[in-house]
Amino acid sequence: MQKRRDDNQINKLLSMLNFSSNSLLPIVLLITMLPHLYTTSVIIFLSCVFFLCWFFLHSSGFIRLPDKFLIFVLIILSIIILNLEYGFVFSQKTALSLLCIMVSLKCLEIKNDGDRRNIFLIIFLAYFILATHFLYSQGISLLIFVMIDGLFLSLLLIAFNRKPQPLLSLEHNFNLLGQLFLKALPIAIILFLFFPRIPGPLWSLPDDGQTGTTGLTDKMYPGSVSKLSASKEIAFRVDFKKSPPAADKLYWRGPVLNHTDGFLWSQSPSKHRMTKKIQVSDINQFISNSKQAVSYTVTLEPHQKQWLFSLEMPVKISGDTINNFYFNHDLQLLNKNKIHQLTQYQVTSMTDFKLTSVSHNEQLESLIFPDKHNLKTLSLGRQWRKKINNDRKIIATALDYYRHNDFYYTKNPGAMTVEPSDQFLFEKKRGFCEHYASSFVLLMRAAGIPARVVTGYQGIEKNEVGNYYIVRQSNAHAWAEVWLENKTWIRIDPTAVIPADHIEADIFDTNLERLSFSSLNIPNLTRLSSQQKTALYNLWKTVTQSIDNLKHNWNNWILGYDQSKQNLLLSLMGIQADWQNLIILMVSGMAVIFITLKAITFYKQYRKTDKVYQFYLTFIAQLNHAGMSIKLSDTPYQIKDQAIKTFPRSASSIKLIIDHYIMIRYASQTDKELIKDFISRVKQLKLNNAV
Amino acid sequence: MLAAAINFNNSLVFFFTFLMVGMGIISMHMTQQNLLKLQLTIAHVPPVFCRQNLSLPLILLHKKNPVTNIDIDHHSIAVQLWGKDLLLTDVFNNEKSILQLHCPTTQRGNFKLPALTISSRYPLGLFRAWSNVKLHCNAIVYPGQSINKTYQPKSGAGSDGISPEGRGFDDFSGFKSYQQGDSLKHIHWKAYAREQGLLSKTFSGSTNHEYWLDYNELSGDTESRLSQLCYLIVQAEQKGDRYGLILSNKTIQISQGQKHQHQCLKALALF
Repeated sequence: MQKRRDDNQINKLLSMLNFSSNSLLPIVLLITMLPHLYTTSVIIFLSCVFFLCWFFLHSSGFIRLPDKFLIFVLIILSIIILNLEYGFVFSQKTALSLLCIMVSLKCLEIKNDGDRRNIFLIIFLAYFILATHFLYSQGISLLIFVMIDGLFLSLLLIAFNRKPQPLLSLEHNFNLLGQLFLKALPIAIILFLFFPRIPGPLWSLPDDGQTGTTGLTDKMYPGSVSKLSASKEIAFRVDFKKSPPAADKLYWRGPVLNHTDGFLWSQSPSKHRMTKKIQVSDINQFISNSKQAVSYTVTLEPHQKQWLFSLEMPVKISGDTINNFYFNHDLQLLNKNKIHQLTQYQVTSMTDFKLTSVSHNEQLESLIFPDKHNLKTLSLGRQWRKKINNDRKIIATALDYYRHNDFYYTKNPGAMTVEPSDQFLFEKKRGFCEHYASSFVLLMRAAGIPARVVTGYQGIEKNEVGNYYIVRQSNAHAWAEVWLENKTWIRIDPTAVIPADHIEADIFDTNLERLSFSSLNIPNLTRLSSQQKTALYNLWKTVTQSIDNLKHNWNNWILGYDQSKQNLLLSLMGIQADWQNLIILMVSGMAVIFITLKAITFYKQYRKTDKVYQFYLTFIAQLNHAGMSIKLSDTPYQIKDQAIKTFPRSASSIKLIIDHYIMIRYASQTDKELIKDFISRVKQLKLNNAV
Repeated sequence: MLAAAINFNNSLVFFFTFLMVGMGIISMHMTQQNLLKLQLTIAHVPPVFCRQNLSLPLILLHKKNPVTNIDIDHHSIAVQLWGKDLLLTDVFNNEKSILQLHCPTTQRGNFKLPALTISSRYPLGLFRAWSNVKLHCNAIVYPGQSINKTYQPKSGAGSDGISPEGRGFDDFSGFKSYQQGDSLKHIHWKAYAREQGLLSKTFSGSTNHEYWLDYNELSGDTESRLSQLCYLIVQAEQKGDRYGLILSNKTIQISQGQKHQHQCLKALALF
C-alpha cells in the first residue's frame, strides 16, 4: 500500500516535470548563468532575469510572448545596456554578458514544444556558458556545480527530445544519463591526456578590469603591507627540486618601487619602464658572480597582474601557460598577459649574485629625495654623509641606528599619515617592514647613496604532508636595495637587524596559525592540558595541510596538465612528439581506427552473407541478367510474382526457389536437405526468355 | 568550446569539452543501438474498397538474441509513411507495440505498401538513425463501388442446372451443417446443446433470389464493369441473395455469406 502511494507520488512528480519542462528551462538557465551574472552589474542581471521570467510566465500560461517587432526592440535595448555598461571595449566579460542576455532573449522566440531548433540552440549555448565559468575559477567546488547543472541541462535535453511523448520514469532517465556519463568518461580522459596542447593563445581579448584579489600592489604606503599580513590566502605554492635555500635567501622579487612623494611609493613612471624589455636570455649581462642555483616550480594563484614571482635572481624560466615573459628595467620578471588563471612555471634562480645597473638613469632616479618632506630624516642622512665617507660604513651606521634605538617590529604600529618617515624614525619607533624599508631608503638617499624599495614575499611555509612549500599573502614583505660603490645593487633588509626580543609575538606565522586554531571555537579548549593542546594542534595542522595538499595536487596534475606534462606522459609511453607531431599522430591514428572498424564491419557483413543468401543473390542476378529489374529491397513475394509473370515457363522452379528461401529464412527450424535442394535448384535454373 | 579551451589553455574547459564530445559519440552509438534488432511485421489487414483508407496494424517487437538473452528496450521509435505524420512509440522487451498506419488506396488488387521510414532520435536528439523498410503485407483492395440499379441478373436456377431449394428467411425448410458465414440467428442452438454439432436452420422464401452476376453482360470498360460488379455483390449480400460470379477467366459458384462475398470481391480485385 505504501509502495503504491509512493508510485503515485512519483508519477505525479513525473507528470509535473513533463508538463513543466518548459517552465524548468528558464530556471535551469538562470542557475547556469548565475556565477557569471553574480559578478556583472545589477542591470545585466536584471535584464536576464526579466526575459527568463517572461518566458516562465508564458510557459505557465499567464502571458503571451512578444511579437517580432517587440523582440527587435528588446535586442536594441539590451545592446544599449551593454554599451552603457562596458563602453566599446569588447572583452571576455562583455562577450559573456552579451551571450547571457541573448540566450535569455532567445527563450522568447520559442514558439511551441516542437520548436526543436531554438530549444536545442539554447541548451547548447547553456553548455557553453557553463564551460566559460572555468575561465574565472577552476576550483573543485565549481566543477561540482558545473557537473550538477550539466546533469539538469542534459535532463532537459532528453525531455525536449522525447516530446510529444510523455517522459519516461526518472529512474530510467538517471540510469540513461549515468550510462552516457560513465561511457563518455573514458573518451574524455583519453582526449584530455592525449589531445595535443597547442601553446599560446589563438587570439587575445583586451584585459578587463577583473575584480582584484587581496595581494601585493605596485603602490606602497605605511600600513599597506601590514594590512596583508593578516591574510592567510595563498599567493603561490612552490615545489623545490632539491631542498629550499636558507631562510636569508628566500626573497621573492615583486615590484620595485623607485618613486616617492614621501608618503606613497610607486614604480618609476611607466614611459621609462615600457621602453626597456630585457629578455631572459640577456639577464646574464646584469647578473655577475652568480652562485648557488636553485630549481623549483611555482604554482601561482591568479592575481590579475603580470608579475611572475621568483627567488632573487631568476636566470632561467619556462612554462607552457606563460608567454613572452621578460624583465622590466627594475629586473622584475613579468608575463606578457595578466595572470587570470592558475599558472605554473619552472624557474632556476641564483641565490648568490651581484646585480649590475641597467642604466645610469636608474641610479639618478634612486637618489631623488622628495622636497619639503621628512626633513629630519634628510638631515640625519646628510649628517652621516658628512661624518663618514664610506658607503658601506654609512649603511652599517643606519642598521645600527635601528638596532640600538629601541625599534620594535610589529604589525600594529598605528597610523602614520604626515611625514611618515620622520614620525617612524624619531617618534613611534614601531613599524612593519614597509616603515623600515621606506625610512631606510630615504636615509640612504639623504646620504647620497642610490637606494630603492623592493616589494615581494619573504619566507616559505612547509606542507609536511605533500612536501611542498606555501607562500601566503601574510608573507608579503618590503626591503631595500642600495647601489654600492658604482658596481652592484645590494639587498638590505632592515627588519632583519631587529633583535628577537623587539619582535612582537604577532609577527610569526605559527602564531597566526595558533590564532586561527583557537578561533575554531573548540569547547573546553582552556581546560585541556598543554600536552593535549599540542596533540590537538598537531592533528589540526595535519588535517589542514592534507586539505591543502589535495588542492595542490589538483592544481598540479589536473589544472596544470599542460604540454610539458603531456610530453612527460608520452615519453613514459615511449613516444617522443611535440604538439605538431601529435596532431599528425592523432589524425592518422583516428584514420587507422576508422579504417580498421570499417574493415571489421565489412568482414562481419561478408561472413554474414551466408551460402543461402549468396545463392539467393545469384538467383536475383540471373533474373536481372535475363532482363528484369529487381531491387534487393523487394520482398521475396514481390520477386516471385514478378518473375513468374515474366517467365511463366520457369514458374514452377521460381516458385520452389522462393518458397524454399522463405522456408529456410523464416521457418523455426531449418532442414539441411532443404538448403542443399535450394542451392541445387538455383544452380540448375534455366530461364526461358520466350514467353 | 575547444577553441576557448586552447586559447585560454584551461584544463577544466578542455575536460568539459571532451566530456561533451564523449557524450555525443556515445549518444550516437545509443541512437543506432536503439534501432537495431527491431522486428516489424504487418498483422492481418481487413480488405477495403478502393479509395478507402487502408488501416495497417504494424507490430513492432524486439528481436531477442537467443544466446545472450539481454533485455533491451527501444524508445521513441518514429514510424512514418511517405508524406504522412510521424507516429511515435516505445517498444519494451517482450512486449508487442502496435501502431495503426493509415494508407489511402488508389488501385485495386494486391496492396503494395510503400517503404516505411523508421527512425529514432533517442536519447539526446543529437543524431537521427533511420532506415527505410519494405514490408510484405497481404492486403487486398477491392475495386471501388459504382452504383448500377438497372442490371437484371439472370436467374440462377436455369443457368446451371443446380437448383437447390432457395434459401431465404421466411419459411423454415430444414437443417444443414453450419458453414462459416451463416447467420448466428439461424443456428439451431438446441441441437448444439444436445451435442449434435452446429446446425444451421435453412429457410425457403419467396423473396429469396438466386442469380449469376456476369462480367460480360455489363457495359463500360474493365474498371467500371468491375466496380459495378462490386456494388452488385455488396448489395446482393446485404439483401441475403444467393449469387454467383462469372468473369472472363473465372467462375465462382452460387453461394452466399461473408466468405463467399470476400472470394468474389477478391476475384474482382485481382482480375
